[in-house]
This record gives sequence, structure tokens and C-alpha cells, in this order.
Amino acid sequence: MKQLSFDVVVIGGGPAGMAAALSAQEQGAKVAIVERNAQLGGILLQCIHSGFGLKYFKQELTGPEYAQRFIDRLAKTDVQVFLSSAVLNLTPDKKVTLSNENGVFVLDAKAVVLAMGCRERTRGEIKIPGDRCAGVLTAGLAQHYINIDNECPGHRFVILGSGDIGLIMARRLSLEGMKVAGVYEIMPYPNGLYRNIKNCLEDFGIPLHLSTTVTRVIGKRRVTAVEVSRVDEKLHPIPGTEKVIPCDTLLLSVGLIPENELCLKAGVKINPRTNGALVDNDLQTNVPGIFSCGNVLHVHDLADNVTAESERAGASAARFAREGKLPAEWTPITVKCEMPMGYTVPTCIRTRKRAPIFFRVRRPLENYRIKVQSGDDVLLLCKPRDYKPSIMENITLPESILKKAGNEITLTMEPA
Amino acid sequence: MSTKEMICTVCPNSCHLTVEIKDDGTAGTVKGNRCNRGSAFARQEILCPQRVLTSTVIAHTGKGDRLLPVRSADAFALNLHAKAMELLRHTGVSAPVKMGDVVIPNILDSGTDIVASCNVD
Ligand SMILES: Cc1cc2nc3c(=O)[nH]c(=O)nc-3n(C[C@H](O)[C@H](O)[C@H](O)COP(=O)(O)OP(=O)(O)OC[C@H]3O[C@@H](n4cnc5c(N)ncnc54)[C@H](O)[C@@H]3O)c2cc1C
Ligand code: SF4
Repeated sequence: MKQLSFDVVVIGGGPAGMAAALSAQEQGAKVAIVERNAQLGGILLQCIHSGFGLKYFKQELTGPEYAQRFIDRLAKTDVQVFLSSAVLNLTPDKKVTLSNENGVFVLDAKAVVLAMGCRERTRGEIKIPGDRCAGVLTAGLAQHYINIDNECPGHRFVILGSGDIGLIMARRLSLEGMKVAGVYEIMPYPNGLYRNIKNCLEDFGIPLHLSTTVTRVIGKRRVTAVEVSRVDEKLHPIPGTEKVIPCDTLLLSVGLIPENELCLKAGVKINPRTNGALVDNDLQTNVPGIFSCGNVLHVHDLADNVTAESERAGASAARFAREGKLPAEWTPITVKCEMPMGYTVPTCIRTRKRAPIFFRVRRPLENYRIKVQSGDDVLLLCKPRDYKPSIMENITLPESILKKAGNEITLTMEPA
Repeated sequence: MSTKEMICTVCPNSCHLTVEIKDDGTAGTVKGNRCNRGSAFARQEILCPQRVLTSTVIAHTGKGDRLLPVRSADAFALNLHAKAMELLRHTGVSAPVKMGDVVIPNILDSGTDIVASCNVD
């Protein structure tokens, strides 16, 4: 086994990994990226649609264009990129084991950035009953078949779930001449961005059925139809509302799960609300010197937010590599949240300067406001507005509030 | 005079717009937009919806064929997209290609080019 050392090793070469590497490198660190695919870019390479970069580049880019800009920047640096190299193990003392066609290597790192992205939830995870036939696949896999492999996974589609990937695929399939019978969503509201509902469904006359789910897959060797049913407020199928929709392929767009197997090996603690690591405001996990960002930390809807977050993680990692620790002059503030706020990133604040907090709500809220409390003291009440679960939100806590916070704050949403 | 509800798709804010439709079919005042791009979008949407088109074409490389993602440099009439897809389906390019290289100039006289979305060596 060969041994190499770096200040910062970044695991994953999607937008998160590339931004983290660039910002660590700018801080003077010796950086490596390890990516298991043959190319940098991550999921962006298959997201050929436009809708990236509006915040970060102030321009609407496609996924590959967004990725190419970072690939070009990296090419001008001395960041070492290991392609076609899968990380197999990560230890708490930051030894990164990777395997590629040349063998197995251990990279010795002073700091590590986790940027492995996420994977899609599958049929098993949502337990759709019925026949076990071919023709049930995740929307992202179908996207890979069509946009990268030039294969057509079916002819007549039903899409379960109104997340963005499903919506984007509905348009893509229609443009390629395939039939999309409909998109079915169990919740009473759509899960994707409104712009995608308009541009991907309405433009193509594809119906969106809310409060409806697939209750049975039908077919011997290949799917021939699915049965859909309306659901009640508790999301239970209503007997008597079943309808059979002929199709040869069922696409699932039912959520993403952070890819965190490596974290567990390194002793990184996971937040059950996000399935990503628990981190502080420097994006550091409970293991000193291991940082996390992008979709492996919490699912992002916009790559631009991934980039901004990952730049912070990369800078923190470079600082840790340089100084051996991050400054800790303040007692940590634990950040808690209550429903309908689903989670916060971070869950711990170690500064009193200013701290951005990212969160999602669990259901659509009309005219609600954010309330920040410490014990019974209300520290902040924001201006009321509407919130949607499909949009990641953030609030920046200023110095004046952090100084009053004690050692715990609780964030909630309340109707105005 | 009537009104039409629509969602602005220019940026992720997704503002809810209410557009006044005049008797001649054109757009009058626009409400609900957080910025000026919203009212321009609504006017265009009533006149003739424009979208960016993205797809793939075959790229011939030294190591075999692969797909090259492409886009229209700008939005163009949605009602031309099906025809444009037909053209793209029969289009091939030879590597090397650089992001921004023109694959089909002025597609269907729409005034916009189809360009490459990334590099292929
Ligand atoms: C279909 C779809 C449509 C989207 N549409 C938009 C949009 O219109 N606008 C927008 O802004 N955002 C969009 N997004 C969101 C955005 O693309 C993602 O949030 C972003 O790509 C996440 O970046 P990431 O780097 O965290 O993860 P990824 O892009 O998934 O990258 C993770 C990388 O880590 C690598 N990796 C994982 N494990 C290992 C390992 N053990 N060893 C080595 N490498 C490993 C993977 O191969 C991968 O390359 C979309 C996402 C999807 C899936
Ligand atoms: S009106 Fe302006 S802010 Fe609102 S969605 Fe359109 S472009 Fe964005």
C-alpha cells in the first residue's frame, strides 16, 4: 500500500467537493479530491437541463455547464484529483483508503471534507405492494440512462412523486417522444419547485394528481400497469378510489438519502432528522477535522447553495489543517428546533459573530414567522411569510442575538 | 378584460403573478412580481412562451461515441421545441468540443444557437 499525505482530502467530486477543494486550496492548503466516477461533476453531469447558477453566477446554466466552470477552475490549480477511485474507508485519525485500477492507497489527511452526495430512495424503501417485475426504477437512474448512456428505459411512463427529479424527467421523456401518463403525489401539495411544475408538466400537458399514490404494481415480467388510489388526510389509500393506469415503466421520485456509510466508519454522528452528519457552524462534525457539506450533509434543491456551503467547509478544513484545531473561545450554543420546522444545519454554534442557519419546514405554511428562543426569552421574531417544504430556507443570527443566547436556542415557526 | 394567474419561472423565487389581459389579447398590468423581470416574463408568456431547450447529441470521439449535452443559448419559442428536437436527434459532432461551441447556428430561424454544455476531448 502506498501512502500519500495532504492537508485536506475531499471525498466526492460533485459541486460540493469541487467548491470545498477550491476554497481550501485558496487558503494555501495542499488538497486532494477523490471521485469514484471517471469525471468530476457528480450528479450535475446528468442534469442537462438549465436551472443552475442563478444565485452563484447570476446566469441560468445547465448542470454540465455549472460543473465545467468548476472543472476549469480546478485545472488551473495544483489540487490533485484521483478519478475512478472509490473511498473504501475513513478512520477517525483521518486516513482515507481508496481503491482504483492501480491498487489500494492510503491518503493521510490533516482534515477531511465529506462530499459524497446522496442516493435515491427505492421501491423497497417506500414499500409499494404488487408484482416484482421489471420496469420500476428511480427517476435519477432513468435520467442517467437517457442523458449519459443513450438508452431508453421505457415507452409509457407513470411517475410517482413530484420531487424535482421526477418533474425534470417528465419533460425530458416528453421531449424524447415518450408518453408520460401522469405524475402522482401522495401529499396534498407538490414537492418540487413551482417553476418545474410549470415548465415540465404544464408546458407538456402532463397531469399532476395530488393526494394520490401508487398502491399496486401490475405485470408478469414487465410492468403493464399500475394501480393508483386517492389517500385520506392520514395518507391512507381510500378503498373504492382505485384506478388502473396502463404503462410499461414506473419512475420513482420519492426522495434522496445522504450517502453516509463512510461517516459511520469514522465515528461521525448522524442527525436522524437529515440522515446527514451533525455539524457546527464551521460544518465540522463531532470528529475534529472531519467536515461535511452538500447533499451528504442535507438534501439541497439548488446547486448554488451547495457551492456556498461547501466553500465554507473547505475554508474551515484548511484552517484546521493549518492550526490543528478551530478556535473555541466561546461555549457552544446547542441549536434545537420544533415542528413544523424539520431540522436545522448546524445544530451547534461555536461563534458569537454571526451564524447562518439552514432549515426546512415539514409542511406548507402560510403567513408564519420564525421565532428564536432561549429558555423563555424570545430573542427574535421574523417578518411573517409563506414557507414551502420544497425550499431550503435560511436565517442568519447576528452577533447581538448570539451574545444573548446562553447555551441553547430553540427555533420554531408560529402563525402570525 | 380578464386576468390570468401564472408563476414567474425566471428565478427560484417563483412569484405568483396576476396578469391583466386586455381585450386585444395582450397583457396589461402585472401584479405580484418582486422584480421587473417578472412583468417582462408575463408579457412574453401571453404573447408567445419562450423556453430554453436542452437535450443531447452524439459526439464522435477517438474512444467511441458518447452523448454531448447541448442547450439553446437563449430561450426561444416553445412551439418550435418539438421540431428542434427532431433536428437534434439527427445531429452529430466530432470531438474535441468546447463548452459554448455552436452545434446548430440559428436553429429554425429562432435567432438562437444550439451550443455545447461541456467539453469533450
Ligand atoms: C435530477 C436533479 C435535478 C436537479 N435540478 C437542479 C436545478 O435545476 N438547479 C439546481 O440548482 N440544483 C438542482 N439539483 C440539485 C443539485 O444538483 C445537487 O444538490 C448537487 O448536485 C449536490 O452536489 P453534491 O456535490 O453534494 O453531490 P453529487 O453531485 O451527488 O456528488 C457526489 C459525488 O461523490 C462521489 N462519491 C460518493 N461516494 C464516494 C466514495 N465512497 N468515493 C469516491 N467518490 C464518491 C459521487 O460519485 C459523486 O460524484 C438537482 C438534482 C437532481 C438529482
Ligand atoms: S418576478 Fe422577479 S423575483 Fe419573482 S420569480 Fe420572477 S424574476 Fe424572480
